Amino acid sequence: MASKKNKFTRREFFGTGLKIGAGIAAYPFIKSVLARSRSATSLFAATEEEAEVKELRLWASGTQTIEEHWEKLESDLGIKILFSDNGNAVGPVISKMVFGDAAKIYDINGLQGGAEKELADQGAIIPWDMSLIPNWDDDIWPMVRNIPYHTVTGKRYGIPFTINADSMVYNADKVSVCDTYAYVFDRSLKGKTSMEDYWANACIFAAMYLKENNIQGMGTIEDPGNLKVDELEGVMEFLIREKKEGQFRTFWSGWEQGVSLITSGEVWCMTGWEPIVYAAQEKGVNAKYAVPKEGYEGWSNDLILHEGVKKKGLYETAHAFVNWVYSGYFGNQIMKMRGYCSPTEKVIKYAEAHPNEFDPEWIKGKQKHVLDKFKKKKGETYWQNVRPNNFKLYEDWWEKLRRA
Amino acid sequence: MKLRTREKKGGVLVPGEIFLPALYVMILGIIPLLLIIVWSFFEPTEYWIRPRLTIAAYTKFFTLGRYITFLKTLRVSVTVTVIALLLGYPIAFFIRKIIKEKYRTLILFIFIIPFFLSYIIRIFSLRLILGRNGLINNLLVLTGLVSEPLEGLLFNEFAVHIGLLSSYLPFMIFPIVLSIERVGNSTIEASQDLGATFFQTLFKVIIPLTKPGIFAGCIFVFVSSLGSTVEWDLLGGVSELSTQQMLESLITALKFPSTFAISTLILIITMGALLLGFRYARIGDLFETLE
Repeated sequence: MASKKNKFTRREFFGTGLKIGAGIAAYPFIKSVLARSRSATSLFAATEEEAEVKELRLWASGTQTIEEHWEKLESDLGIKILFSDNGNAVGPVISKMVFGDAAKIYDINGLQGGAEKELADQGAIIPWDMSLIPNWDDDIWPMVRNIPYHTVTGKRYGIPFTINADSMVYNADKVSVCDTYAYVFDRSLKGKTSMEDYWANACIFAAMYLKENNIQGMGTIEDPGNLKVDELEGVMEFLIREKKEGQFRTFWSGWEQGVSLITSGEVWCMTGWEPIVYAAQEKGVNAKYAVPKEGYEGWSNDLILHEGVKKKGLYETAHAFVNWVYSGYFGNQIMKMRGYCSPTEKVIKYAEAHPNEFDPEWIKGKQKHVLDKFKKKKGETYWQNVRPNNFKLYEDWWEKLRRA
Repeated sequence: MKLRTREKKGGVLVPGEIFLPALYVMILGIIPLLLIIVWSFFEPTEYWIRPRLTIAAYTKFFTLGRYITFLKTLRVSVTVTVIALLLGYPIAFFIRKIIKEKYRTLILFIFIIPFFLSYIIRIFSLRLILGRNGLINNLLVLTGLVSEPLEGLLFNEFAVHIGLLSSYLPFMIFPIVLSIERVGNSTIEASQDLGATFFQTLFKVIIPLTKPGIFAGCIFVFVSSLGSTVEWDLLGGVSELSTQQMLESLITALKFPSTFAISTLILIITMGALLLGFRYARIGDLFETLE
């Protein structure tokens, strides 16, 4: 009896298969019925409460959100931000936008600058209508108006979400005055220097050093952020040589690693982010941020407009959101929460008009500090480009460097 | 309550019982693996792949020197596995046969405790021990054994080995402890009564009987080391790049066929090791201990 019970007959086999098949076939129908019932409920609720609240799906680097403070946008303009972290890895983001549905699912992207041309060529993003963003006015810092990769064939595709300029972090007790990138490659600091483990950062810093000091005849480099094939070869061969000589203690990635290398004394001088200096100082290390004669590496995290917004009827809403970003509140909040800078004078104006919300002096000091990096710099500001023309070659070279 | 038997006479599962598990394994396990193998022979497009057969991804594996990273990871994984076995076997034997039963759980627990910590923090803390101003260097300088801190403890292959061992040594110990359960004290005593030396008993009685545990431990450590990233990333320094890191970099650069090709090679090696285990070490016997 037991054996009969356990026996799996052909009829039962097909019966089970059919049940599973029917379940799979019915799933989309059930799903659509459920979705319809949900949307009917939400429509009903919206009519009762506030039909005008529009939702914008913002897909950006996790560090660009002001979290619960997006409520201010909802109360100001009736726009609700649904934030998702895009992981900040440019390749996969582009792949999901061009090959996947991300350009339709999400409405606005916040991505490290440089991917605009590629995404525009692929039709994944559309240009901004600057006439719908009146806050893009004379208060905007001049240097961010002409970031090379923000425009494609004269149309603006990228608007800076936040910006800053990076150089070197150094331990002032070990290295007296660090005013040139030459320190990173100085043999007296052999095994005590480091660079970020990402070609978009390491290559531009090395290229700036080689260009500005005309080393190996590299003074002819046009744009350190977008190297030509032969320029890239020269820069990478230089870095490979330095690595083989044992110049670098390690390559670093991520905030914790950056801070740890300086505070533990493993590294005395490295290319890196300014907040690392403040974190190291808090831990009692005499860390300082360099003002190199070759200049800074400027970077911007850009707002780009997905092609799907027009069909969804969110084109104006998206522009209204960006206009709000440039109205001052966002700049104060992101500076307070993350130390990032929104490049408009409206940030200080807002703080002065709302001293109960933000400390105007503190904000002024922080904004001025970033602005001075661009204004009172010794050298040029070269903009980081995460998607240079030869980016696949950059990847190949970086792989080669890591293996060397 | 007596569990209802799920076996027919002779211990063979009937098709009806395995239909759903088999379907599950097919959909979530075997089909994705087969797709990886097939896609590795597809041509790359700007953002994905297209079904035009080519062996370009495998050619690039050699011409662009990716095999160097692959072989290095393989070599390190084998070394770590061998060291883990040499360390893990005596520890397992000590836990199971030497110490008293009431302390056994405590000792095993000591090996489990680190797993309560975040994986990254656990590896990161090794920097504080191996670093220029770390615990070991401070001790060496304090005791006068060296005048200057040693640079070679961190950011090299040695540090990667330490990191991998600290992560995966318990994976070697636990299956061996389990397999030593199969070796009764009477068996060891019988061997000695018949005049076998310690080493004869060890090599001719104990090790053959614990082969399934040894092999299971080796597989766990080897496969985990092969797929490791954090140890290489945090402890390896500029010259240490693992296959896994290379794969991540290839995915970022959207070089999918190359990613699939390397994954296929990893799959072949892992499956080969498993087949050897089932064939020669009778790895399946390990679970009989549980019955």
